[in-house]
Amino acid sequence: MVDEDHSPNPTDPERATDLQELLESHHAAAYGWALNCSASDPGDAADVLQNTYQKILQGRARYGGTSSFRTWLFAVIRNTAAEERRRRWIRGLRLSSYAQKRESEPEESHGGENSEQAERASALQQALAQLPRRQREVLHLVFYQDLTIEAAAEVMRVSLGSARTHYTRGKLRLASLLKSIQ
Amino acid sequence: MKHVEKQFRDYFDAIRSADTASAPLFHCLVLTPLRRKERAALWIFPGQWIAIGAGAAAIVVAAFFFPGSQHANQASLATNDPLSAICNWTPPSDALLASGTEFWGSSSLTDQLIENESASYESSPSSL
Repeated sequence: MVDEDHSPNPTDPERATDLQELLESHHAAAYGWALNCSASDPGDAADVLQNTYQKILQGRARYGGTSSFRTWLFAVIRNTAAEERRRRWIRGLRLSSYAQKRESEPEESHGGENSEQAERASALQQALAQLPRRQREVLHLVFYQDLTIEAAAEVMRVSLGSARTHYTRGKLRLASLLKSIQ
Repeated sequence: MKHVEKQFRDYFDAIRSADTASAPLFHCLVLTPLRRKERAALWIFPGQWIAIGAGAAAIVVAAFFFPGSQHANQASLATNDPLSAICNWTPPSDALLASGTEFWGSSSLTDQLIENESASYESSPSSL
């Protein structure tokens, strides 16, 4: 499983640079996952990602090598997003619902793209908004991030069987939702 | 099912390309200091701390000017104190003494006798 505290602190500057390069190579995918974990709020996603990078570069989260770096990075992002959510919940500043944000976003982010792709993105966002969190996460990890279900289970910290169940149910539900939206 | 999966991938590709285009630069996140949204979030509404301070001051003032509850506590302590209960105790036979005059009929007659006796004593104390 993924662990945050396995290897020594990256105090070595050379290692820190390597770590930065490694993080940078996964940056786009990490941002996509951070968006998914932050109810698609770009500001929150950036904050989560920044906190994650700080954790890793300061050695507060360490890669143990037991899984792929990407899987481990996604698990750290997920944990950081959960911490942020808890903090906000405690302060009574709950995020507005996933659906509201996802519905308002396409006009800003897909404005310059062709209409077919924008429509697809919008339909998918609407459908995903109606899925439970776990189903949404596993579908994102498999179809967006191209991870295997095993890796998705590691990121989500659930058993493989549980991840498979979420995946199957999520797929069926998403298919019917996309059909109804179209 | 393969067709469905292919369809899903197409849909997710649409989102991925949009997310990639809007992603903040890596170096911006790593090099800039942490954005402290939390600090701003502490300010739930403008003047929050003023309202909290005013509330605390009002409680202190209320405690000074309305110490009723403190007295009530002391009174309840006094009634529960066994020492004060002993001091305030009156024997039940006192009731018999208090009602003694009633056995002598009119109290005015008794009073008159006592007055006469005391007057005679004052006039000639040596006669006793």
